[in-house]
Amino acid sequence: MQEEQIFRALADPTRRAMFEALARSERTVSELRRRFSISQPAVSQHIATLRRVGLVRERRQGRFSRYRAEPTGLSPLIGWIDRYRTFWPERLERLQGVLKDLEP
Amino acid sequence: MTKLVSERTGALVAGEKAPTDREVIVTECELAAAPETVWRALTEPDLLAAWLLPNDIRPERGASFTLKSPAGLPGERIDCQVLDAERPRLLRYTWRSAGRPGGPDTGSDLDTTVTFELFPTSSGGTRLRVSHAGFPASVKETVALRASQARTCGAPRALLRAA
Repeated sequence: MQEEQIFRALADPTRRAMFEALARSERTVSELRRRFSISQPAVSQHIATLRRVGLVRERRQGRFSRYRAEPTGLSPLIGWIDRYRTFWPERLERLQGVLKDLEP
Repeated sequence: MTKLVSERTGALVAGEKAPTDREVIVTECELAAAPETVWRALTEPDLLAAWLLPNDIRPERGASFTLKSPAGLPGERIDCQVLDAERPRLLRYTWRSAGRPGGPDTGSDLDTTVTFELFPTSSGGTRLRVSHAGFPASVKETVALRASQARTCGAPRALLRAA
């Protein structure tokens, strides 16, 4: 399920912060390495994970690749949040029924 | 009669960690039942299962329990740990989608927290506020950024700064 992969990709705090940084501006791997103080292979691995789930896209520029967040990649996540927006009112209506039985 | 009185969302302003980068879904309702009765419906497994989800809840701080994941939501279960249990005013636990049907147990996905606050009303009932927090606010930010990104897509950094 695509949204679960997105959840897993964002469950890692560094990857989530990286995604949020890439939502603000396009960056290269070395810019990300400096910003997050982690090794280049670690950055590349995080980027690969984010790209695999469609959260980040690559743009080749000469010898370098630049990365930025792919806003539409979050659509499944938005759907997930929206489902909870309807979930709670539905469940609270059921709670009202349960309480009626408890306090006739 | 009881009814849902409001549903709103907004940035979580007071939190122990990362106060500005999470979104919270708040749902409130007024219930005719007294707080003690509502508390029972929140903390007794059979009563909780009748309106929320199948569970093995123990309303003790630090206790772990599991909710069976609702249809249409990811994961096969929701792993919970009680953070606060103050009868009959406050119940707060972690809400973590976990596991996948037919797949390996992948552990936690995205951590969220659910808080139930019970306020007595003048008529002897309860105002119940459910706050589901921890959704990444980057969703909102990113959607807001979409327009500006479309404008500056492919532009050199200098142009991006000037925009």
